[in-house]
Amino acid sequence: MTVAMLQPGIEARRHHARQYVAGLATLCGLVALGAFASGPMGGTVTEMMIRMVVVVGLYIFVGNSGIISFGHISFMSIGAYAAAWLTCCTLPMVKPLYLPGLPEWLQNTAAPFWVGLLAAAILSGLSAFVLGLALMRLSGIAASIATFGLLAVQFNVYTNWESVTAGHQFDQQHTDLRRSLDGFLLCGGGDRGCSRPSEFPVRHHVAGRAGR
Amino acid sequence: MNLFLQTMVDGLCLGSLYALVALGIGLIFGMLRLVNFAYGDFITVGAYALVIPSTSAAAVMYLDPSDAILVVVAVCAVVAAVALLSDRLAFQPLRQAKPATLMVTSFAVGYVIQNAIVMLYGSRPKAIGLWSNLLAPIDVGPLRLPALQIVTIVAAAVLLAAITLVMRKTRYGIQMRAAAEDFAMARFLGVRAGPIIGVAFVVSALLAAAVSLLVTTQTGVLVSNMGVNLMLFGFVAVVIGGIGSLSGAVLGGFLIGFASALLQAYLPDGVRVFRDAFVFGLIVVVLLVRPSGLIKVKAIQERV
Repeated sequence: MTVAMLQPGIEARRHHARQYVAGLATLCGLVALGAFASGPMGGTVTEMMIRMVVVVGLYIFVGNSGIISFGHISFMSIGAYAAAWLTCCTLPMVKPLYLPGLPEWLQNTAAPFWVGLLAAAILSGLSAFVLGLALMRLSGIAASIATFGLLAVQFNVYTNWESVTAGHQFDQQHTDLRRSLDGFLLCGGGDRGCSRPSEFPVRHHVAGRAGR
Repeated sequence: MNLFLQTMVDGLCLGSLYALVALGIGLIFGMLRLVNFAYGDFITVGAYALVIPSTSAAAVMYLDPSDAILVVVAVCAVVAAVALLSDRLAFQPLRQAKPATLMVTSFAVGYVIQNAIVMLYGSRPKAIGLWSNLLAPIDVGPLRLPALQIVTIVAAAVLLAAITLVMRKTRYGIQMRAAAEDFAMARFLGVRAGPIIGVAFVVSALLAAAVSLLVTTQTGVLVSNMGVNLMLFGFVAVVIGGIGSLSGAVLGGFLIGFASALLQAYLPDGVRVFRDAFVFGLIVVVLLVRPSGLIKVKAIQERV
């Protein structure tokens, strides 16, 4: 008979604390690696972190609603373009050359990165809110397909609205429809694939007991 | 007037292809709740099955394309084998799994097939001259149509009629329809699950083979992801037609075909590039108005 068995709560809490500290340390290490490592390593780590943010975003919707959303990647695209419109191309010549359809004031703007980040969050958040009002009247597979319709519309518009997005001039690899569809795969395909965070403590608790 | 007629024929032709794809997807979906994203890759396999593996840009075919029956039979056999194999290896162990798990599995199967094709044939598009004499236009009344359009429409009509007949008159067809509406109840009533799923996979593979031959003849190019777009349109057709209803899937396929053709013909010049945005916008509207699709099936409706 161990102390842990008499005080499973404390043991479990210590276990969690250790896990959180380990997780946080790993995260800090990765951030440092992404920030300071040069060459392919830094790039890979940065990309990994971006994907992680995507997964968390997807999870918040898919994991809580149970609706597999194919469309969430289009909010990423909306945000990315919002940031690009504000921050892209510091030279006075490049922006009007590539994106002649932008309004005058945007053509002469090259805002700092954090402004772009903020604008990206605001624009994609707003569009998600408005579209969500309409689409979330649906449920189940109809909702999934409606979000796919949304992805197809957004993809088609942004690819072909040349004067504002320079759609065809940029690397096609990054604007491939199937590639955007793959985004949802990152999440493991829905709430039943992912474990809810709230389940973790419960499971460890149970596992801890069963183990003894 | 001629433009309108031509557009309607285009729509019928495109709709036929989508309807065949939608039927192939809908059949499996109704029965197994498997959203088969690998279906597009079955189509791709059918097209590549004609060609000797190599990385060269021009395709060399195994069979003489003038022997049409042999080509059709060979392609059907290869696609059916791939479909059955993917069922055996990937889907059969997951019969009790949730639909979302099956969907992710089908993504993975699609990736495996696509990358296997890239490994064998290289990732560059290949030119292939399959029945290219069908592309020559012929006069039909006031219209000049490529013979292929007529072949496509006739082939689709024959296939749809044959499948309707099989579904209504034969033992396996009736079992498949029962299984598509309510698999558990069908099994209680004596439908054996294994064989009937196999038959469904073979039927859907035959449809994929037909589509791949028609599409390859039309485009004359093999690309490793050529089936993906067809699969997406077919899948959307299944959903707006009404999940679980095979006639709904066909109806949805034709609707999307006609909508694409009409928008392509009548959208003003600057807006035409946004055709797909309009098509999918319409699809979202249809779903908002009728969330369970155009033709409702009782057993499928989600209980709230």
